[in-house]
Amino acid sequence: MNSLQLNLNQSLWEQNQLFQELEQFLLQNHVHPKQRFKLITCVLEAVGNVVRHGACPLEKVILIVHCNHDSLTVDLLDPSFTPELAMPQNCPSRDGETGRGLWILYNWMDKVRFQHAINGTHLRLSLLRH
Amino acid sequence: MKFHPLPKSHASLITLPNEMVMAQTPTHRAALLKHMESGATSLVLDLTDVRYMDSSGLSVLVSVYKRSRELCGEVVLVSPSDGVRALIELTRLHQIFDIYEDRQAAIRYITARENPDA
Repeated sequence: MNSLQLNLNQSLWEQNQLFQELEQFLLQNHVHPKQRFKLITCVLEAVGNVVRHGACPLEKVILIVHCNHDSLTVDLLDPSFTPELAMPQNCPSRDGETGRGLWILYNWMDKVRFQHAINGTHLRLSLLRH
Repeated sequence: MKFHPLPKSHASLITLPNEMVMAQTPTHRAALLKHMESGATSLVLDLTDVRYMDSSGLSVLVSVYKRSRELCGEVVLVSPSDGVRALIELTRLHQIFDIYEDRQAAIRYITARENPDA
């Protein structure tokens, strides 16, 4: 299994280096372009959620991506207590400007799991490699 | 982002940047809405160069769509990548945007709409 760990920071986020790092790692592991796009989009949604709702600086958030022959797994470790966000029952309204992030996350990932622990929030995303 | 006003119309062709993601969306939204306030009521948004887009990038498209509707204009999209198109379809925004593969066809449609007697 190959893994990539990124200790996030503001510059990684603001200068779009986050997805460049992710893209490089996924390319090296021969991840199909469709799955690459899905995984990167969902990581952007998950980190964006921490930026919006988390109560700690991005510098304390850790992102780990694991890649093996049959699945991709993302662990996002956030030392604050990001609220658990349930799967939306319906697609957000077409005219609405919010709420699509969770819809994307839950529809494109095979598993989404929020776990609150004493040291913060752990979000795990999994995507099977077909 | 590149702005190209289309001749003899209140419309513009706008080439969107490589990334339409959260860190930049306030800037992109402000630039697009400012351009509309200056008279471009209809837009052809060229997505050819957009490699990544997230929900905040989609929300910029929705803001522009809503403003164009208020101004009696229209917004069409051109050449999204397979990934961006899948994202648009997942969030059902293809129900409010016409999507063209051919930029010239999109420009013809918007300019004809702006000048129905031409």
